[in-house]
Amino acid sequence: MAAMSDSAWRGRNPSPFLRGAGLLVGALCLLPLLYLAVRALAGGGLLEVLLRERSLAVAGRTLTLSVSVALASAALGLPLAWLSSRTDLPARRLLTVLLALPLAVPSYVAAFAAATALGPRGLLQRALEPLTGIERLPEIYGFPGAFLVLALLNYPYVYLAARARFAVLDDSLTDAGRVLGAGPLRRLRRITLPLVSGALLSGGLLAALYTLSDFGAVSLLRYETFTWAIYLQVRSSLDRHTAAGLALLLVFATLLVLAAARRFEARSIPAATSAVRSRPPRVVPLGRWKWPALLGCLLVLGPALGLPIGVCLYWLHEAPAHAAAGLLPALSRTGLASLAAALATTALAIPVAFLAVRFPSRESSVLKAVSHIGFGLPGLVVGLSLVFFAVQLAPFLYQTLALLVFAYAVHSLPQALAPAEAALASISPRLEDAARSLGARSVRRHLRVTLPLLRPGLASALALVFLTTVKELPATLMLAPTGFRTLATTVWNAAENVEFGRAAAASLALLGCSALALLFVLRDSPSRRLTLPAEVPKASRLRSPGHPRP
Amino acid sequence: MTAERNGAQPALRCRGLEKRFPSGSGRRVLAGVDLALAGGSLLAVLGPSGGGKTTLLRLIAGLDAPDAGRVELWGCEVSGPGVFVPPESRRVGFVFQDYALFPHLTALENTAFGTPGPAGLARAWGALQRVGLSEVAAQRPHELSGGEQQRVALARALAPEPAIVLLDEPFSNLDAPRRAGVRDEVAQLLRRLGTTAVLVTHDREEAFGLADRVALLLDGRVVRVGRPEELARDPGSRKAACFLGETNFLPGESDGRSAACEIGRVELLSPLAGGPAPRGAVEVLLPLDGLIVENSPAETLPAGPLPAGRGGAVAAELTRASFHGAFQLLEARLPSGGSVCVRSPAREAWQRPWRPGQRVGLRVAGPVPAFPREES
Repeated sequence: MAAMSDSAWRGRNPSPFLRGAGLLVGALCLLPLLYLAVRALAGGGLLEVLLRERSLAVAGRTLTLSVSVALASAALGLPLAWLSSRTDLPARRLLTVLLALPLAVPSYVAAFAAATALGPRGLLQRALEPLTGIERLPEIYGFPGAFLVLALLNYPYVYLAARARFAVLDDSLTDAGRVLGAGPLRRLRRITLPLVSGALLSGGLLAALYTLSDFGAVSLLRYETFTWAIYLQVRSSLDRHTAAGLALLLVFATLLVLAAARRFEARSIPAATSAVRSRPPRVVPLGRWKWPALLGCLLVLGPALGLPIGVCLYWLHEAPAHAAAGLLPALSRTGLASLAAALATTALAIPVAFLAVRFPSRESSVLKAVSHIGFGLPGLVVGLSLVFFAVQLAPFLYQTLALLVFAYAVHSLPQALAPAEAALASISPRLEDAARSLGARSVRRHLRVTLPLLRPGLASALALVFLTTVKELPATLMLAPTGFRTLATTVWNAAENVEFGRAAAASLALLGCSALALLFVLRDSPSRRLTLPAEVPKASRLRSPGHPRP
Repeated sequence: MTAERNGAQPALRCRGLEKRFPSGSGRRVLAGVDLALAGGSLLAVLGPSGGGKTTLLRLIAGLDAPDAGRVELWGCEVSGPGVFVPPESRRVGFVFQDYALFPHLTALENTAFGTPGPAGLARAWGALQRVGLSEVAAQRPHELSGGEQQRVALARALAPEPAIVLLDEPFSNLDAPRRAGVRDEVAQLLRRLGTTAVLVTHDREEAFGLADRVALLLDGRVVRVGRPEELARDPGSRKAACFLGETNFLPGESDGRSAACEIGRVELLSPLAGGPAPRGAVEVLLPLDGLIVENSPAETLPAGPLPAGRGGAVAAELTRASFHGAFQLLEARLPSGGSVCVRSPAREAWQRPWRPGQRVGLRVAGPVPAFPREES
């Protein structure tokens, strides 16, 4: 035993145990996608399904929505990022955090709020009618509502990426432009915009990605994109073949967008030539534009954050007393499923992280790519594929908690991998060598050295997966055992059944969880570094060049 | 800018420049800087880190506006009461400390940034060639070495043929072995092109080795300007001498031509600014290289008034000796118990190194400066 794992720590070759675990994780990650492909291709006639007029219309709507959301996100995110990072905007620190928070609003909560507030006979219309006699407001169902909700929830991807860019953009670059005779317009066009364009692109692509895979908003606002069409297909006609075909096309689209985002991220230009920053970033005084700028921020925050929270509080206030009745069981079920998912996902992440960080090779980089597949698979697709799989090949798994947890794990593995890998990469292999030289054998070495140092990273991974799984909707709808209502499905079903009080109560509980999750992510995001004990970063400097950071 | 380039007119003149941070109210970083620079010459502004050197350059370039004072370029006022020419229109070349190369543009595109148009591209190409970088013209800054980045920054500043070039600690980001070589190349290039340049640095060797004239910036003021060797010999004040390097100070009594101190009666240097040497209570500056160590312990000095000039050597005992390659650093205890440091040339150590405990004679090599003693 000792000899076997000793060879693993020699440097190049992972132990058969570790390798086997890695292979297993890779196979599990590939299962939903492969099975989906098999189902879609098996009956033949896939092309015919995809070229049907209805499929093309769905594809067209999905494309329209994704592109418009991406453009709107860029248009909102860039100016907000500049205002919050480079100007003397009033209440800047508070606004900086608030402007990122729409990410924490689940799309079905925002859609529920938008539909009940702005829809026909909604709150706004009822409030306006006695005053103005307006009987119809502009249509919210369909494209306008879906676009509005998704743009307001997804602009923070651009906002955060552009902020990160502005934070490292050295003022001396624009100074150099001035000295070389460039006026403000030329400086903006030739220096600033090209340097933040990478952030705009990758942020916009992320917004498009989440729009592609969104189920909550498009389903509640009745805009038939891929996800909603697939769900309808499965629920109504039980036409498994068409559903699988559409899902495969959706996966193809998401993987394409994901690949493009990765490519732009990798090719992005460093924002400064030297690591030494001459001085802290300059703050641009807004002068008399201060208050209009603040108003602009509030005009975004109002509908993005204020509306969902306000509407939920209103319905809760209006609701009959029994509205919150099913909430506690739903809360405990959600907690149970999410906790199980967090543990399972982190367990799956450990072997992948070890292989990727400690044994870099072709094999481990393929494994790493495969483990990230969940990022490109919409939750609905994972759910759909596993339903097919269970019904066809593993009926004993159908409608079990285990299958739901597995779906969560595949979907959120990338989230657990990032902190686990970062933590492992910051532990110098020299520390393990030191433990060896002091006579510690494999088990003792891991228990006394590696695991304690990994603990903060693993804790991050657990918390992150837990907090994001809490709000997962489409896979839960597809896979949850009968009667197993989580908070997310409670909101969705209650909204569909016009039980607004119940939807509002569960929504508020979810908003709380989500905000926690987001604050957790933002704590790490600027540098993607984890807060580790002080001695660990020092040790990481000792790492030999043979162990590149992923 | 329509200023005539005529040799008699200073290329740069600063008068009473003041700057506070935060602007207008805070700490006074520059407290009235006066400076003039003839066309075609290279001036080094030498001062401690954080002493306002970069601020001075930014005021000259117009990247910041002074709180008081004026800046003239070739006789044309560009900053002053009611006057502010923006940096875009000043025709000033600036080499930033971190180079500030545009990371998204190639070396050639960077160089051509200040010279738009096809003719400008040709000029930029010429500038790149002059710094010997035409081979990396198509590469982005992060693909270049530190020294190459530095030369691109220089080419970019020179390509628009500016009226004056400002260099902000241009060599501080290079590692020591490369620094000396790059420094000489840059100095040669600037001289060959007849460029008027101001370079700021905190490195004494760099300032002395490169510049025609050195201005010492201490406490927000230019306290002294002169040729490097003048400045090295007579820094002008105790504070300046301390900034320029290790020295010995001995209290003495001056008659305006020579001063009596523990080491004998030493001849005084007439000050750089003109006028007689100070009289009365002075501090005599004994440079480390200005003392000669002699093997024979000298006779005890006669009591009473000492003869001027070579009054023989004073007896001392070596308490420390260490070898530094180019010299041997010695510490000698004087009869009064005070001690002085001496740098003895390496060739003496090759013959017979000085040892601690040895009894030696100390003698002053030539006239030395003295400053009025400040009561503390």
